[in-house]
Amino acid sequence: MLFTTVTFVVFYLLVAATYFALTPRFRAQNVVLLVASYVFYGFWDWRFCGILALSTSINFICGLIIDSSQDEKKRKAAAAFAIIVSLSILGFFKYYNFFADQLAALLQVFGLGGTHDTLKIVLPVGMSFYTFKEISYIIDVYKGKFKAERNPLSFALYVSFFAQLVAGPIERGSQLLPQINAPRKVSPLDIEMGVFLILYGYFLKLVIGDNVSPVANQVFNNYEGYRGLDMLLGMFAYALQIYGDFAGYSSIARGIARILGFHLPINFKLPYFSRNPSDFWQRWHVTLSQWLRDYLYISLGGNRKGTIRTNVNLLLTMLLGGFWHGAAWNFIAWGGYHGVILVGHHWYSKPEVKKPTLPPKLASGLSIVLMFLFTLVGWVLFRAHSMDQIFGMLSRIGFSRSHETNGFIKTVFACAIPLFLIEWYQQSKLDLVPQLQWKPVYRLGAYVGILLAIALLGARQATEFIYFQF
Amino acid sequence: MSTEAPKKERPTVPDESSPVLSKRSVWLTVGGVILFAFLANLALIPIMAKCTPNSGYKIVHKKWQLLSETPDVDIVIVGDSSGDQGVDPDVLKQELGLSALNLCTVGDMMVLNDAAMVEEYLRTHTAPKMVIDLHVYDVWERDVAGSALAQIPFSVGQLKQVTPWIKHDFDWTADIVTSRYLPLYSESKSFKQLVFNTLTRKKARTDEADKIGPNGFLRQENSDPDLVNSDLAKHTETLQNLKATISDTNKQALQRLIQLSNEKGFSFYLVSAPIYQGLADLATFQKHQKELSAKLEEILKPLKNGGYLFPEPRSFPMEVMQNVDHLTVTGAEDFTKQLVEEIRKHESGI
Repeated sequence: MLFTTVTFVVFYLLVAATYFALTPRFRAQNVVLLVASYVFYGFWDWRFCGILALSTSINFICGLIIDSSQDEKKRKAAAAFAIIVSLSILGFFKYYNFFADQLAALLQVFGLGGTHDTLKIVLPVGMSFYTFKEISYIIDVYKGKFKAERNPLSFALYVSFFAQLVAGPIERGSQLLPQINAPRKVSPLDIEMGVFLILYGYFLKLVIGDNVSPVANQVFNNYEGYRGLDMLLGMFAYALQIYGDFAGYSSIARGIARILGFHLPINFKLPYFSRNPSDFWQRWHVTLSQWLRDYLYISLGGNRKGTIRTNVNLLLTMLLGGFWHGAAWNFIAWGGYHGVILVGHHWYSKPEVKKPTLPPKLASGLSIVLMFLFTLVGWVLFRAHSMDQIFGMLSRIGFSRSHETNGFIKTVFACAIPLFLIEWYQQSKLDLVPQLQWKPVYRLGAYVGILLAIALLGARQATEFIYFQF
Repeated sequence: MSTEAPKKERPTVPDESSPVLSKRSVWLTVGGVILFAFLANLALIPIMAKCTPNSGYKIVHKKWQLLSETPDVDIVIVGDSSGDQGVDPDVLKQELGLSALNLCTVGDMMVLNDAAMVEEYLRTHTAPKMVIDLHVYDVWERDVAGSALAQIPFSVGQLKQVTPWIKHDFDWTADIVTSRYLPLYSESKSFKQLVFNTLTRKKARTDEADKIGPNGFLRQENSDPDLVNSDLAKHTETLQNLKATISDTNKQALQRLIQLSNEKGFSFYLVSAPIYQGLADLATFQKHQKELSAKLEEILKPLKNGGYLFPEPRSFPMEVMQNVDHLTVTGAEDFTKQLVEEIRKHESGI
């Protein structure tokens, strides 16, 4: 059930009506949300619900064991068991065929391999997201950051809440469980924020992401048929597509939760205004970035063990972050690439490294452009189907034009300019919702404008959200 | 990934402000958006019905209007746009002495619309002597689209009745309902065109639907060699991957037409659309058509009166083609006469 379908709109209206009818009985509301979440998930494939329920049950029980036991060995064993089971389920569905392929290739190098069969495994949507939620919960309980959840329904809702089930944001137990276990108060601000986030999310997805996607698809699917400038436009188009798509999804997810009284974390903070790689990861897929930092990078030692170890930890974290996105070498390459530029940036940030003296505004503008170019190269690694394609596309970049270049320029800039203007205003105010400071009549005008933009300019055949595959 | 401790300098990463908003102001903004969306939809329903720039839908609406307004005729012609401007009822009258009404619409309406039209005709008129159903080869594999189905002026319940083979799930109903009652959502493309035409004061091109006469025939006076050539290139490409399949919707609708013919006693003729010679000469087309004809003949086996005409489609030169499968009025006259000849071979009684 995609957020962009009429089915979802009707589903959400029914759920919201039932939910508010039960106010202030928040436990009953939780039951409604839990049932709705499983129905929502079952729309993809009802069998996915079984895996979700199994994974939820194991983590719930292990959380209780960790919390109730004084025996450190037992606590550790329960935590390890929960994490291993969660990762094994994810590993089987997401990575089995990848590793089988690599093993077969390796054996063939040594003349040992024959043919092997890959299993027809369908990755249940959202599995990568809810697995990370469960792992963070187990680790936090183990570290004593908060008490294990005693109510199975509350915990099940934490894992499966439909707003964030299939593509995040990756919410922590310490943030969401207290909201689940208390009556929600929906303020006027929540309602307006919710409506705005939903509208703006649809705008990002349908007007920006889906309209620019044909350019990205054409160039990436047939890069050999295009010329230098087309490569750049294709990369630019993909940067807009993936941002519109994923930031749009996150915005809708946060909006539908906000109207129900839940505050989900911000996942995107104008990432293309980043000035350096470190800044980028404070703005792009923020909840994943924070998860990797808290549960992987810091666990590896973070920056406490010297420069070399810090850099190794960074690279390793980013490689695994790339691998989280999918079982393919290009995702690993993408993660590794971001690891390398992060390491490079850390080196460059040292006071002893001499830097050119430029006027602050010029330096800021140049760093944003430079970081955007670095990001574009990263998107080639992310989107390409093979290493050949990555090198093929990057080596073709230039200014030669094909007969389709003009059309590509029009499409890409028609999407990029309005987005840039909106985000430039948000960035200049350092506020993602600057319109809330306006008079109501201006806010109304802005929302009607977004609605009309969706109606007039939105792609009608909305594509599935890119991040569902992860 | 951020690994740096926050520095004590002006932040550059934006956040969300949380001002206190009064209930009144939120009522105005959120209520205003909802009210705007509701009123815009309400206003657009009649506007889009009258001024839609979608000429295909206009043709559909006009043909359904003709069906309800025209008295009984001897021959009812249904099918896609190739028949719309390919079968001239006046020529049929002249050659066979039988009155005819051309109710052909557009390809996206598929055989489903033909079946619905014949059902409605039989409900409101005396059964005709003959039904001619004409389609281009690439219509057969298409499947039903809710937006097209919504153009048939039946209630949702009636649509369900005439499409018993379709899974009438929530998505199906939602598709019909949104197509009809949420034009801001479902007809955004047409709405966008309408706004663009109005703002730029662009004169809408002569509408195809306006060329339809009282007998339903669409007169296309001029040939268009450039269009024929570009269209041929598209068809050549399409044929590379096109399989000779018949969608369930088309198959079931065709079976329904056969059933009606057998029950009501009218002759039913399925006719391959006239095409450009250049297309007929393509080996890929010939292979595709051969496989398709075999499948259609298999479905037509239970038919008592009538048959399948032109399993090898009649082809025409560039001078009488508007595009690769649409004739000019001169070509239509020739094609209709060939059709009459073929029908005479089957129906010695007429």
